[in-house]
Amino acid sequence: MMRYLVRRLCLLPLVVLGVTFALFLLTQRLSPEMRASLYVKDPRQMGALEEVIRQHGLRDNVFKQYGRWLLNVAHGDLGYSPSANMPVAKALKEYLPATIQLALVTMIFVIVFGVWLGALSAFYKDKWPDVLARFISVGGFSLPIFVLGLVLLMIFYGQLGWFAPGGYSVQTDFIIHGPSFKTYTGFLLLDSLLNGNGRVFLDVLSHLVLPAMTLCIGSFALMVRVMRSSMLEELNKDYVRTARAKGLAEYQVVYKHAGKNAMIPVITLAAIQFIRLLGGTVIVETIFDYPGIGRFGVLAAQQLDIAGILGFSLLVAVLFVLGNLATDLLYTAADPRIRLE
Amino acid sequence: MKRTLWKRVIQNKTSLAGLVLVALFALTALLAPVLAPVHNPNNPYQMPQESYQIAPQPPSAQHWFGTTEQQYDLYYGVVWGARLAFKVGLTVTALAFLIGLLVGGVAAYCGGKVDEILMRLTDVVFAVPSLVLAMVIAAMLGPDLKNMMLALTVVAWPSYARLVRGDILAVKQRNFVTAARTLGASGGRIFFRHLIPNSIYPSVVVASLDIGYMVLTAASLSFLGLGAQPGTADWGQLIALARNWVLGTPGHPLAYWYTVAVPGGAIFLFVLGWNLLGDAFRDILDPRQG
Amino acid sequence: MTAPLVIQQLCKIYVRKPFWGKRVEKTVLTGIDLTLQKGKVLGLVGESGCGKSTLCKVILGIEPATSGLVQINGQDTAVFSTKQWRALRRQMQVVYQDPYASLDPRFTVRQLLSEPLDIHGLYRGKSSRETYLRELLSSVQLDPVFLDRYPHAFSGGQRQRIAIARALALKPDILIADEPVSALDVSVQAQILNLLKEIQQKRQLSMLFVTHDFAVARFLCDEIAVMHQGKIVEHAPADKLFTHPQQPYTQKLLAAVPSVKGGQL
Repeated sequence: MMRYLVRRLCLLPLVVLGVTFALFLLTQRLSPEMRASLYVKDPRQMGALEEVIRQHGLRDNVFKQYGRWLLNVAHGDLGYSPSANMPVAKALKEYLPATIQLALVTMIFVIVFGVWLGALSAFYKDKWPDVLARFISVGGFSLPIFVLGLVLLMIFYGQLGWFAPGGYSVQTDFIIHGPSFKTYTGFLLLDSLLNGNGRVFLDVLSHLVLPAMTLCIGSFALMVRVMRSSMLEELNKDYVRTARAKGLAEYQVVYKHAGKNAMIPVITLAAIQFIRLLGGTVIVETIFDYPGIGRFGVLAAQQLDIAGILGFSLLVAVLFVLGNLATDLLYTAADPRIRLE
Repeated sequence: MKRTLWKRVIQNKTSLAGLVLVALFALTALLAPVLAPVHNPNNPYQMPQESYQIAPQPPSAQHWFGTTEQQYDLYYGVVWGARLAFKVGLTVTALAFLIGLLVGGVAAYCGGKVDEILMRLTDVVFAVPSLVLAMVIAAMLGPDLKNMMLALTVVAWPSYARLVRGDILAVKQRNFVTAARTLGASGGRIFFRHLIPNSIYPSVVVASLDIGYMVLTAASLSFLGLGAQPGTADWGQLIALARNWVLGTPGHPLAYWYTVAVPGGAIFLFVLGWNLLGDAFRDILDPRQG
Repeated sequence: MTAPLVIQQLCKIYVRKPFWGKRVEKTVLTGIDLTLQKGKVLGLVGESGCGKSTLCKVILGIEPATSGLVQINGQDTAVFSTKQWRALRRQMQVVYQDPYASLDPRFTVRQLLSEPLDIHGLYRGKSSRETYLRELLSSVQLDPVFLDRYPHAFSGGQRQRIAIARALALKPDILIADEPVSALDVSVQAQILNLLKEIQQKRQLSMLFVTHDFAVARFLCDEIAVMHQGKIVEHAPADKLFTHPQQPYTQKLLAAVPSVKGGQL
C-alpha cells in the first residue's frame, strides 16, 4: 500500500514534466517574438520584445529554455497572460475556486438526481420510469454538452429569463469588489455566507444552475445506469426478502435496506466522475461565459497565449493526477477487498 | 461466431436502431455529392455562401434546413458534415489504433524496461483530460483540419496501446505460444502469426466503435474554434455559428431554433447510433463488462 | 556413445527483484542429476508443484538454468546461440499437457502441422508436403480428411494426437512428454498412452515422460525418477522401483495409488 502511494507520487513529477515539456517542444514551432510573451510581466514591456528575447535566450536550444521556464515555475512565476490580461499565476488562483465550485454543485446534481432516478428505475423495472431512465442514460452519453448547453440557454434564459450566463450579476460584481466584502477562501458561495450576504449567495448559485445542469449530463447518465444495476442487485438479495417477509413497509425496504447498500458503488463512482468533470468544464464555461479555469484555458488556446496554455496545462495535469490518486485511495477505503498494486 | 454476432445485433431493438442510424449516416456521407451538389470543386467541404447578411434565415424551399449566420446553407453543411465526420472519425481511429498496436505490441512483446517506459508514456498522455490535451495541441499547431486530426490521434493512441498490450499479454501466457517457441519459431513469426491474430480482433471492433466518440471530440474542438477552417461543412463549426443566436429576437426567443437543432441533432444522432451499436458489441465481445 | 540427454547438478532459482525493496528468491530445482539413455523411456514422477514442469522448461531452453549442466546429444545447451537452438529443435520435440491450450485456435490442422516444416524449410514441394502431412496424420491414427479443420472441431484425445503428430513432424530423436494424458478423460488416456508407446518403439525415440501418475509411468517407462520439492529422491529401473521402493517418500506415494498396489495396471 505504502509502496503504491510512493510510486504514484513519483508519477506526478514525471507526468507534469512530460506534459509540459511536450507542449514546450510544440511552442518551438512559433516565432521567438510570440514566445516572448511567456516572460513578460507587464503589458508595457510588450513593446520591447527583442530585448526580452535576448534577455531570456529565446533563441537558445529548447532544453535550456525549458530549464529556465521550470526554474521560474519553481519561483511561482508562470509568466504573463495577454488573454486574461494578468499574470498566469494570479489568473489561475482567481479562476480555480470558481471551477471547483462548479464541479461540486454539478456533483451534487449528479448524485441527488442520479440516485433518485436510478433507484426509481430499478424499483419500477420495465415500467415507464425505467424506460425513461434508460433512455436518458443512453441519450446522455450521446448528447454533446455544447448542444445541451445552447438548448438550455435558449429555454431557461432566452424563453424563461430565469438563469443568466456569467459568473454573477453586475450588482454582485459591485458588491464583491466593494470595500465591505471580505474574501476568505476565493469560493464565492462560501465567502458570501461568511460575509452574511444572502443575496450574493443566491445570485452566484443561480448562475451555477445552467452550467451545472449541462456539465452533469454525461456523469448523470452513468450514475443512473450504475445506481439502477446496483439497486436491482440489492433488491434481489436474501436480506431484502427477509425484510419484506418481516412485514416492513415497502419504502423502508427500499430506502433503509437496499438503498443503503446500493449506494456504495455510487459514492466511488461520484469520486471518479468529479475529477473527470474537469475536461467538460472547458466547454461549459465557454458557453456560459463562466469565469473558471476552463474558460481561461480556451481563451488562451484561441489566442495562442503560450504562457496561459502552459500554466493551464500544468495546473490541470497536477489536479488530474492528484485527483486520480485520491480516487484510488477512496476505492480501497470503500472496499477493503481491493488491494492496490 | 460472425453469424451469431450479426444475428444478435439484428435481434436487439436498441442495437438495431444504432445500426440503422449509422447506416443512414454512412449512406448520406457516400451520396453527399448527389444529395448536395458540390459548390466549390476544389474543396467540396467548403459550404456555399450566398451573401454576407448576418441573421440566419429559417427553413425555406431553397434552404431546406435554413441558413446560419452569414448565410451558409445548413442542409449542405449537414450532408457534407456527415462525410467529414466519417473522414475524421475513420482516419483518427485508424491512425490511433495503428500507433497503439505498434506501441502496445512492442511493450507486451519486449516486456521489462521497454514495457515500463512505453507504459509510463501512456500515463503521461492519460494524465490530462483528453479534450483539454487535444485542445492545447490543436491550438499550438494552429486551427486546421489536419492539425485537429493530428491532435486527436495524439490523445487517442494510448488507450489502444493499453488495450492491445493487455490482449497480447493474455495471449502470451497461453501454451500455444510456448509450443511455437519449442518448434523453433522466431520472435517475429510468433508475434505476427500467433500473438497478433489471437489478440487484436476484439480490440479492432472496440476501436472502430470509438468513431462516434472521436467525432464528438472533433466537434468540440471545432466548436471552440480550434478545428476546421471557417466555412467548412463541419457540425461543430455549424453549432459555433449558432452561438450568437440562441437568445432569438426580442419577443421571439426561439426564433433561431434551427441553427442549434439541425447540426445539434445531426451530431446527437450520429453519436447515439455508434453508442447503441457499441454497447451491443461490447456486451457480446466481453460478457464481463455487460 | 553419449546419452541423448544428460543433466548434472542442475539448479533453478527464480529471483524477483522489485524496483526497490528486498530481492525475493525461490529455489525450484536443486542438484538434479538425470540421464536419459538412447531409445529408452525415463519417467519423471512427482506431485504437482515439485518442479517437473520447470525442469522441462529448462531442458527445452524456455527458462535458463541458474547453474548446472544440460547436455543434449553431447552438446552443452547453456552456450547455445539462437541458431544452435533452432537446429536442436529438430532433434528434440515436446508434447504438452493440455491439447486445448497448446494448439493455436486460429490454425487449421494443415497449418499446425506445416508450421514446424515451414520454420525449418522441410518438404517445400506441394505434393511432397501433402504426402508427408497425410503420412503424419495416419501415423497418429487420424484420418487425413481432418487436415482442413480447426482444433475446436476435435475431441481432447484427437487434439492430443494432432499435437503428437506436430511434435513428430521434425523427426526428432528425443521427445519430452509433459503430462501428455493428464488433461484427458480416463477412457482416452489409455489410447494415447498406447499410441505413444507404439511410436516410441517404432521410431526408437528417447523419451522423457513427465507424470504425476504412477500407473501411467509404470505402463510406459523403463526407468523412473521420483521428484520431491525440487530434488530427485529416488531413481531406479521401473520394476525395481515398484517392487522395492527404497525411499519413504516413494513408498508413501505408491501406497496412495490404488491400481499399482496389487502390482497390476
